Amino acid sequence: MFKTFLCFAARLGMVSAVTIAGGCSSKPTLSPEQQAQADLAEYEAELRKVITDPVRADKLMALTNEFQKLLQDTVTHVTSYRAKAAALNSNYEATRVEYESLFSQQDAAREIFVQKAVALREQMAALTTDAEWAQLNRARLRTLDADLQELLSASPSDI
Amino acid sequence: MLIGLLTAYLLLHYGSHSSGLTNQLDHTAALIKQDVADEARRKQALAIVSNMKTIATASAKQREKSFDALNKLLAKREVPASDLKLAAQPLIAEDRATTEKLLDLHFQLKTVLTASEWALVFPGPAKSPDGAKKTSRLNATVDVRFGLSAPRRAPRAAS
Repeated sequence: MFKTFLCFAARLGMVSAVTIAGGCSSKPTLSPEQQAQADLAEYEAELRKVITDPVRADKLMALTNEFQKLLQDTVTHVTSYRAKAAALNSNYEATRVEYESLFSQQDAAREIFVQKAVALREQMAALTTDAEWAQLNRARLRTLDADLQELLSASPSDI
Repeated sequence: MLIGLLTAYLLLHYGSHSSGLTNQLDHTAALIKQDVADEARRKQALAIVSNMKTIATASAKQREKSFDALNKLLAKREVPASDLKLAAQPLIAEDRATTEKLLDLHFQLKTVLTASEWALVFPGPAKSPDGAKKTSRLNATVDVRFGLSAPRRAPRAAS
């Protein structure tokens, strides 16, 4: 896990470096919406280079968009969960039952989120060959990377 | 793309409870040193936080091993969802076991600190003073807010 995290952090470090370098250039700073669109367009271009069949490429992009939506829902859910956990932590009167109740709710939600993510992965895998799959794993959607990292690094008290 | 993203996504979910209790332990210790005047209780409280940190560190090492196994599976394009679910079980079990231990210590800490000290050490979520909101690129279009609370209360600098 830690190795994965380090790789992930290293990749994000590269994104930060690019961002910093971008900030020093004369290019105008993109709004979050523009940056998200640019990231998605860049990823789509990489995907279509690897998957030359337009029908399969379209399907893969649709699945990528679904995964992006799933992440959006996750961000909303995790933000809410962490706020509730932080509120419990700060409440001197909070009981163990209240914690267990919050954890049970989160367990149920986690099961649904993970099932959806794994199902999307299966559909993507079914649309690709081993070689394409390996190449696609090198292509990155920076928006999703950055937002996942943000969730991983944010603490409940920061939210 | 998806291996890294899914790994990070699962990492987020499978450490969700224990991470909610272990974030900012150093900060908590600093606030205890600052806000708990009674030396005997302060030492007791710091010992409990130190135990929490030890448990969190051991748990992180264990989860690293479980995540390595999961990562190897994720690298295979056609791995069935049932295999992924099976590989995730140790992570879920570990998170639950760690959470139970941390909750024990959390409630032990409550027996050492007074309610007023608790309020100082765990100030909880609050509105950002400038009302500024931080919009992630991923959620730019859905306007999900991250910055819902004030920055953490910083310990006073040592004089």
